[in-house]
Amino acid sequence: MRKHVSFRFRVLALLLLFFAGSFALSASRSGSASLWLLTAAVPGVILFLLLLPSGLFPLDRPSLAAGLTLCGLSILAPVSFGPEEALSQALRCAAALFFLFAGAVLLRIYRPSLPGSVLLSALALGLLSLPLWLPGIPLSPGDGASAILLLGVVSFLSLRLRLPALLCALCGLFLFLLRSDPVSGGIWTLAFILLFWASSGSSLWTGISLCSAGGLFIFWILLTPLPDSAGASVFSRLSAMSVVLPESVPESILPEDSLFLLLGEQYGLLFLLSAVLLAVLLLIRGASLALQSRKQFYASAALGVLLLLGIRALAFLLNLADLLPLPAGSFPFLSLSPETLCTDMFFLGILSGISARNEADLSEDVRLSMLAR
Amino acid sequence: MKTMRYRIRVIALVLVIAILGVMLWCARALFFPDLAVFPLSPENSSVSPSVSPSLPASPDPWTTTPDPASLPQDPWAPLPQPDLSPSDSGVPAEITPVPSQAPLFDTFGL
Repeated sequence: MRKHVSFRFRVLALLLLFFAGSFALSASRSGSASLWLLTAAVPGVILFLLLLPSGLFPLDRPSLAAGLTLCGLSILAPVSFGPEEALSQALRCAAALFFLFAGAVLLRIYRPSLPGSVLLSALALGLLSLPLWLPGIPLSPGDGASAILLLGVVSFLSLRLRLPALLCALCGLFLFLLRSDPVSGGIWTLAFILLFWASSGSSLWTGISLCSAGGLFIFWILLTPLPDSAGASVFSRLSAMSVVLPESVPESILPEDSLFLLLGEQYGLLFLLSAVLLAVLLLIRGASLALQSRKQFYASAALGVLLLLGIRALAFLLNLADLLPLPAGSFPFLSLSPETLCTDMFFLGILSGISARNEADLSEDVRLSMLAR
Repeated sequence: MKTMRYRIRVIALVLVIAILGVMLWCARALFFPDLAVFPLSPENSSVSPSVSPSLPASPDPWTTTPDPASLPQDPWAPLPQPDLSPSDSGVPAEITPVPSQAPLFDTFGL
C-alpha cells in the first residue's frame, strides 16, 4: 500500500514539476507576467483537484489526472504564439471545469426514469435544432448536445425501451446532417450503434439501427442540393456536400484545432505519442469503470463516454495519418473551442460520478457483510 | 449484464488497439518515411527515387524485355568478314578514303 501511494505521489510530483518548469522556462525567456501567473496557477489547480478530499467531492483521480494533464498541455501548446493566447486558453479550461462538477453531480442525482429520459432527449434535440430555428444565433451546440443526448439514450436503454432510444439517436443523426455536420453525425452514429449492440444484446435490433442509420446517410447524400452537379465527379459531389474536402488532408486541420500539431512541433514526436498514450489510459479507465458498475445505466454511460472520446481520437489520428479524407475535428482535451472543452470536462465529470457510485456500492457491500457477521 | 461486460471488453480492446495502431503508423511515417511496408513487392523497392533523386530509376528486370543489342555477344560466334570487293574508286569499301588536303571546317565548299 505504501509503495502504491508513494508511486502515485511521485507521478503527481513529476507532473507538477513538469508544468511548473515548462511555464517558468517560457516566462523567464519572454518575461511575461501572464506566464509567471500560469506557472503558479496550472500546477496549483491540478494539485487542488487531485488532492480534493473524497468526502468533500468525490472525483475519479486516474481519469482526472489524465484529463487535466491533457488540458495543461493544451495551455502549454500556444505559449509560442504569445502569452495572451496561453492565458485565454487557461481561462477557457478554467471555465470548462464547471462542467466537470456539473457532470459528476448530474450522475449522482439522476435516476433513470421515463420522464427524465424524455426530458434529456428533448433538451438535446432542441439544442441540436437551435441553429435551424434561429439561423442568426451565434451559439450552435453540437458536442454538448451529443453528450446530453447520450445520457437520454442510455437512460432509455437502461429502461429496456429500445425503440425510443433508436428514434432519438436517428433524430440526432438527422439534425447533425441538417446542420451539415456529417462527421459529428458519423461519430455519434458509430458510438450509438456500438452502445446499442453492447446494451441491448440483440443482433436484430443492432441490424435495424445499422440499416436505419445507413439509409439516412444515403438519403441525405441523394437529397442534398448540389451547386453544379452536371458532369461532376463523385469526389467533387462529396466535397460540395462538405463530406470530403476538395483539397489535401492537411488543409482540413484548421488553425483553431491544431493544438496537437503545435505540441508536436515544440516538444517532439515522443511527447506527442505520450499525449496519445494518456488518452488511451483515459479510455482504459473508462472501460474499467464500466466493467465495475452494477447497474446497466452506469455501465452504458461509461461505455458511451468511452466510445465518443475514443472514436473522436481515432478519427483525428486517422486524418493525421492521411488514412481518412475527412475533417475530423480535434483531439480530446486539446482544443481551442470552448464548447468541445466543456463537453470533454462534462464527460470527465460523468466518469467521476460513475466512480463515486461504484465506491458507494462497494462500501454498501462492506457494511452488509459486517452486519451479516 | 454478463454479456454486456464481455461486449464492453471487446469494444474497449478494439478501440485501444486501433488508436495504438494508428499512432504507430504515424510514428513510422515520421521516423522512417522511406521504409517500405511490403519490401518484396516491385512497387516498394528498397531504393526509392526519393532517396537518390540523381540516379535514374532502374527498370524492373522481372517485367521489362531486355534489349538484344545490350546482351553480351557470343564469344564463339564467327567474326564478321570485311567487305573487300572493289568499289568505283578502286578502293575496297571497307577502307574509306580520307581527303588528304581537305580543309577541316570547309562545310559550305568555300
